[in-house]
Order: sequence, then structure tokens, then C-alpha cells
Amino acid sequence: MSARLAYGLTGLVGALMLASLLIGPANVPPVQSLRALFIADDPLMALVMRELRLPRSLLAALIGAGLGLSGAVMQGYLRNPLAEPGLLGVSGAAALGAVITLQTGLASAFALALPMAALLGAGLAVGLLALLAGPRGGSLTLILAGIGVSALAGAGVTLVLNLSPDPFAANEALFWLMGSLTDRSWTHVALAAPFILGGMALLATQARALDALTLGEDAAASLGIDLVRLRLVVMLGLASVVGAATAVAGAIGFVGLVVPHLLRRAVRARPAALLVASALGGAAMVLAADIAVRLILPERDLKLGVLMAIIGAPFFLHLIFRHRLTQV
Amino acid sequence: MPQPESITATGLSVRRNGRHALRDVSFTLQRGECVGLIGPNGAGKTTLLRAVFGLEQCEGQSSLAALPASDRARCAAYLPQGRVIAWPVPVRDLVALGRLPYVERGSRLPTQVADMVNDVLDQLDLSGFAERDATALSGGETARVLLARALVQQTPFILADEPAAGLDPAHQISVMRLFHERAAQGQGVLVTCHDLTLAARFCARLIVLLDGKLVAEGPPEQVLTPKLLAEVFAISARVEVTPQGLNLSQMDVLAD
Repeated sequence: MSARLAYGLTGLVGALMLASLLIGPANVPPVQSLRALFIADDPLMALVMRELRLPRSLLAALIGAGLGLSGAVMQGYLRNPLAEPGLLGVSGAAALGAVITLQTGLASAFALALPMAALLGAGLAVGLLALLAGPRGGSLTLILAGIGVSALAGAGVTLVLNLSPDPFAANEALFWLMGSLTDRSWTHVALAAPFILGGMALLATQARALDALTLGEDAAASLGIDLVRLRLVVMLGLASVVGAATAVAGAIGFVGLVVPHLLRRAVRARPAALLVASALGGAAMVLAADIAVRLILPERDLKLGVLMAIIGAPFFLHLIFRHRLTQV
Repeated sequence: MPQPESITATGLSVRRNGRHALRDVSFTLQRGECVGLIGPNGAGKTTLLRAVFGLEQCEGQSSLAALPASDRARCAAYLPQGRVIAWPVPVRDLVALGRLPYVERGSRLPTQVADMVNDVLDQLDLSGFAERDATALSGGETARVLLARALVQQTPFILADEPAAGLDPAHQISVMRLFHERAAQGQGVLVTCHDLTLAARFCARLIVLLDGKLVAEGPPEQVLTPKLLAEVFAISARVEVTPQGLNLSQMDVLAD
């Protein structure tokens, strides 16, 4: 990645982070807001800044970085620009875990039940993927297994909603599924950060392998890349990042698909360079979207996942259109 | 690690869907020789190369496949038949991937790599292509760029699967000549090739596969007899020994 791009993206993330801290329903001038972060002479404002806005922007950056990186890994691993982290079915399984706690009332009985159950769902999905995909190192079997897990988890979620005796609980689950960062606390940050950062670190170790895969699986293997290990690390790292992101924020799609695409040209398509760029770009995109939901409809609680899909889906269609033009 | 002087395969067999894709093949490849691997479509040439490299589950032993993956990558380069370039990376970066086995985990490619890449691109008539997108090349250019990647690996051995397929005559000859020269400089080359005349001219030894079995092995003038061409390739041909090497005119397909 060129220095200019690195500085540009880092600057963008920093600026959006600042903006995210300054925008909110408590209309307080920027200087006063920032002052409250460090000096608690206005206890209420300090509370808003430290306990609401700071964890929220940190989570946005963390989740965005994780999803952006995961998308770049997934596209590099499958050598397909239309791949995205959700393909493995981990986010679906995490959502199933969360929806079950909302339906059974566990989520309201015990605050951490929902994210914990989502993480458990993600963990079970990885186990199932490993069983289905088998011991050899092919990427195609992993994807087919992912599609299976995805479908199963999706069916589970609809079954839970279908059999729900309580329309309010069903409604709550539906809203949760839309994905949001509203009212997230330090507890959420503490729960998600180790998994997201750990998963990202794990995925980053495979940068060389992804570069080598540009030449195909056989040539990569002949260059000394261990494909079985690559697949295991991709699976675990992705599950850790995506599971934790879904556990605290619900389903936020399209980041992992769109961000690597937007940045691929800027890094001249080098898969390893794309990892860092996509992490920064993902952070910027989720921060921007989370600011947008607060600005567009402040009173109506517009969901982050919904906004992402509204922006992401037309972009996806545009990609398909462009892809069609380049294919003869 | 001291590099071996030869690669030995002993009794390699590969079974696929209950049928032998390769049956008890043994051979040795020395440094300093260019060996041609020939045979009709489906004879098992690619399977043999993959098995020798350890990319195929097989019975029997291959001294190369027995090495740890990182040592193997410094001992032999493998140029697969499928010409895959997944992303539009610059040609220079794609070729530099051949140096991956020498780079410590996490560190950057050393600067000498740029010179090595330039040298190999020059040798392959590709010097103007360094900054181009690797996916925006013609079929023949793609083949040569991928060959450059394998050459820049600078291994004692190179196993190339149809490196000359799809090239124009001049580039076919230069690629085979390049392997011949590399062998003269001490590399061991095993190359599959469908052009028998080229194989006869640039390979000191030929290995002939048919239905997964090694059916003949030796210098081209001993191996490429009208009888063998009829039995293995089902063609009739006129074979002449000339001062420039073997001259082979392929005449017609034999009915079975």
C-alpha cells in the first residue's frame, strides 16, 4: 500500500471518529463535548461522551475494520471479487443464537446472554463447517459447506420467528436483526474487541498466502504455502471477527463486499496490501454510516444494517453490471 | 540446506475413481539435464508432475515430495498447466512472487528482487511489460509471465507443464531453448511438451507415458521411432536423423 493511501485512509478514519464523537441527540458544541471526554466538570455530558459516544464510535471502527479485512481475506482466498464474509454462514449462526435469547427472554434476564449466545452460535457454525469441509485444503468445499450452514441458520431464525408466541418479542428480534450500534456500552466493546482484534491478527498472518494464491492453488502450494493451514486460519479468523461483530451489532452486510472493491485499484490489486487498506476503509465506512443514521432520521432510529444495505445493494448491482461488461 | 543433485521418483501410482491415472512410474532427474515428458492427452503427464511435487495423493516415493514444504519450494519450481492469474496485479509483482520461498515471514521482499525480476523479464522478451496489469495480457504473454515467475524462483530443479502450449513458433523455440540452456548451466528440467520435434531437439532424454505407464525412456533418436509413434500416439510419421537433430514429419492418424 502506498504511503499516500495509508495516510489518507488513516486520516479519514480519524476525522470520522471525531465526527462520530461530536454528533448526537444531546446538541452540545464540539469543544465542550471533547472537553467532557477528559474533564468531568459537567457530569451528565461526561457520561454521554464517555459511556455512550466513545464506546459507540470505537465499536463502529472496530467492527468496520474487522468486516473490511474479512471481506478482503474472503475475496483473496476464493479469488472471487463477489465473495464476502457472510458466505461462511457464521453471521447467520450468530444471529440465530441471538434471536433465540430474545425469544426465550434470556436476553432481558441477563444482559450478556444475547452476545454470548451469538458467539456460541458462531462457534458451533465453525465446528460444523470444519466437519463438512473435510480434511483436504480445497476452497470450494468450504464455500459449499458455508452455503449449507448459512441456509440452516437462516431457516432456524425464521423458524424461531414463525413459532414466536409473543409478537413483541418477534418484533424485537426483527429489529435486532437489522443491525445497529445504538446504546452500545463498554461491556460490548470488552466482549467484542478480543475476538475481533484476535481474529484480525490471525487473518493478517496469511497475507503472504493470499498473495501466492494469485497464481492458483497448485502454484501457491509449490511456493511452500500450506493450504490446509490457510483454510483453517481463514475459517477461525473469519468466524471470530464476524461472530463477535454480529454478536454486538447485529447483521451488518455489504461492508466486506464493497470496501475491498472500492480499494482494489488503489493497491493495484495486491491481496496482501488490500488487507490493511480494507481494514481502514471498513472502519471509515461503518463510522460514516453510523453517523448518517444519526443525521438522516434522528428520531426514528434508522438501523445501521438497513442503511448499509440501501447503499450497498445498488453498488452490488453496479459491480455485476461492470463484471458483465468485462466478460466477453 | 545442501541442495540435492537429483530428484528420484519410485513406484508412483495414483488411483482416481477406481482407475489408475498413474501406474508404478519410476525415474530420476539429474541436475544439468533437460528431460522431456511426452505422451498423448490423458496419459498422466500432469498427474506425474503433481505426484512428484507432492500435490497429488499417491503411492510410492518422491524425494521431492518428501521435503518439508519450505525446503521443497527452494529445491524445485513448479509451473502448472492451468494459467491462473487471479488479480490484475502489476506483472513485476506477479513475477516477484517466485521469491516468496526466500522471504522470512512478515518481512518485505529485498531490493535485489527487482533486479532479478528485470533480468528474467528481459530473457523472456517481456521487458516492456513490467508495469502492465497481469490480467490484461494475451495468452502467449500470460504463459511467458508465469514462466518468468517460475524462473525467478532460481531453484536447482524446474518442473514445467506445457510451458510452450499456445505460444507462437518463435516463442516456442525460445522457451525450449531457454530450458536447454538452463540445463547446460546446471539446472534439472522436466518439461511436458506436445511438439515432438521441439522435444527431440531440446531435450537430451525423453520419458514417454501411455495410460499412466512409463512405456519408453531414453535419448530422442532411440525413443521416437515410427513404431513407438504408431503405438503411443497412433500416428504415422517419417523420422530422419539430421545434423541439426531429429527431423520428424507427422503424416497421418492411424486407424485402430
